[in-house]
This record gives sequence, C-alpha cells and structure tokens, in this order.
Amino acid sequence: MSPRPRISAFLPPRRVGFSGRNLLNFFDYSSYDPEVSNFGTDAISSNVEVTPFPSAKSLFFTLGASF
Amino acid sequence: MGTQLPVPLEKGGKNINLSTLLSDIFGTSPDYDGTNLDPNNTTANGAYRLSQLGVTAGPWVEDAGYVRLREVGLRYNLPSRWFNDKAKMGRGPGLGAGRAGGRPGARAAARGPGEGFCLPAAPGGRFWGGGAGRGQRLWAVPRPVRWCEGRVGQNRFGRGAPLSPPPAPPPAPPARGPAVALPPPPPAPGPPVVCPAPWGPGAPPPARGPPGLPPRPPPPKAPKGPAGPRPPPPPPPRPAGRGPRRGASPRRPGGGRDPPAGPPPPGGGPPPLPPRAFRFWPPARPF
Repeated sequence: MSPRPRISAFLPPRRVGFSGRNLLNFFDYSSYDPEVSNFGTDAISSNVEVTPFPSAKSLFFTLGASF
Repeated sequence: MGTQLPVPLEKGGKNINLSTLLSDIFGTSPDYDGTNLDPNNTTANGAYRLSQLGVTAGPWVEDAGYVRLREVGLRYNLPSRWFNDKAKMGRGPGLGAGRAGGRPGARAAARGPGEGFCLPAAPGGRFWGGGAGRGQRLWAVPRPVRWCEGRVGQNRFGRGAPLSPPPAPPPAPPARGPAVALPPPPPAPGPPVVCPAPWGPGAPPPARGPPGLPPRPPPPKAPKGPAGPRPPPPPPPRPAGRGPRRGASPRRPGGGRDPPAGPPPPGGGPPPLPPRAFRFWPPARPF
C-alpha cells in the first residue's frame, strides 16, 4: 500500500474573502467604548466602566479551498 | 459571494464612568481643566466632579448610546473556470465510484491481470473536489495515455490505437511522492524489433541486418495487370535467430511510431491486439 499522494500546497484558492470586527463605532462617550460591562452582564451590574480594555478591531482575510 | 453586516445600535443607555472618577482623583482626566460642567462656571471640571463625590454620581454618568459596525464580511467564490486546468481531475468509468479521488496512476504498475493497462488521463466524466485527485491531475496533465507499457495496444479506456512508449523516462514530478510517480519503463529486452516492411515491392529496405550481410535483392516484379494477386512484400531482414518472441511486449522501443497498415510479416511481429471487448477489463478493484 503506497502512501496517499500529498495534497499540493499550491492549490489555488477557490474562495477569497475579507471580514472584520469592530471596524467602526460611533458614540459620544469619554472612553474607549460605551459597550462596557465591568461587572457582568446582569441588569444591575452592567454599564459600569472601571478602566476597561478597549475592544479590539479584527481583520480577517480568507482564502478557501475545498479538496 | 456573500456579505454580512450586523450593525447593532443602542440608544438612550447610560454608563457610569468610574474611569473618569479614577483619573479625576489622580488629576489626569483629559478635561480636568475644562470649564463646561460647573453651572456656576467657577470651578474646573475635575475639581467640580470631585466636589460632587459622595453627593451624587451624576457627573460620571454619561450617555452610552452608540452605533457600531460590529462585523462586516465580504466573500467571493472565484469562477471555477479559472482553475480548469489545475484543479480538476479526470476520472474514467472503470475506476470504481467508491473511491473518490483515487490514484489512477497506481494501477498502471499493479501486478495482476490489469498490469500494463494505462490508467491516467481517462476520458471519462470529470468531477470536482476529489481528495488526492487534484495533486494527481496537476502533473498528469502533460502526460497523457502515452504512459502505457506492456500491452499498450489497448489502453483501459479504449483509445484504441497502439501507443508508443515514452521516448525517455520523464523526470519525476516534484513533491509528489512515490504513490503517483510511475516507475520508468524497463529497458527493452533484446534488439529493437524491426517494423514490418512499409516499403513497397521494388524498393529495397534499408540494410538493418548484421554487418556483412548483403541486402536482399528486390523481389521480382509482378506483371502488371488485373489478373493475379499481388505477392506479399518480402519480410524484412532480421538478425539471425533474434526474432521477436511470441508473447513479447508489442512495444517498439526503437520506432516510437505505429507501423503503417500493411500485411503482417510472416516471420512473426507484434501479436494482434486484444479485442475491444476488453476495453474496460479488468474491473476496478480496491487499491
């Protein structure tokens, strides 16, 4: 039984794409992000900001190949 | 092609910004020296907010409404015709449907009844997305059914005509592994088989015998006329005692071209090709 032939590492991508998260945010608030909740998401503890870390912007570039 | 655009919006929410309280305590608020908060317009913002500490949380409550582009995506499926020559795999009818993306080349070297039947470059249906088939097809494209040896007169898929062996062992495809690399054909045993005489009566064949043997004289010409069958052409000269053995490979290592149609030489020659009923024989079997 011979080993299976290897999949070529140079397959052309069949699907390309781009996606991102948190690219735009419009607010009037004196900190990084008004969507904060330092103490959980309960109704009594949300919307309290104590020096949060800013939400990250993410960029995704996609190359997809099916084989 | 696809897109996605979730755009959440929150309106009217309030946050209590204790980050501002901390920076007020340490005197590092960005608007610490601003003057737009005190209704009396006498105290700077930082000092005013700290004066309200313990009285009200109002100076640190801010509007938290927002609209944001939380996620955006754009995807595009490239046209498949861009990859017609690189990403598809030929698949013949006899390879068995149970093995998607099989290794057609592996059958050519298999032992058994199917030995010698040429398998790659099948003219059957094509499908997309075979597992290992892409890599196979990538290098099998420039090597069509010429890659036959043994009983090459009938390849598996009925291309029919006798096929000539490759002129030279092709270089092994890079980075393919031994599974798809066919072994080069073994060297032909014995001297090259002389093709049947394509020369008409009267034209002496070129001298191919061992040195010292004079070429045969041309045969006597038949009287021209409608009566009488034409005599068969003379057999070509051969090395003494080294004719092609019966059952030997019909490959013609020295020629490379198919012999022209003509009466077979009486002294032997390539055995007749198997009938076309064997076109898809032997049936596919698991590797």
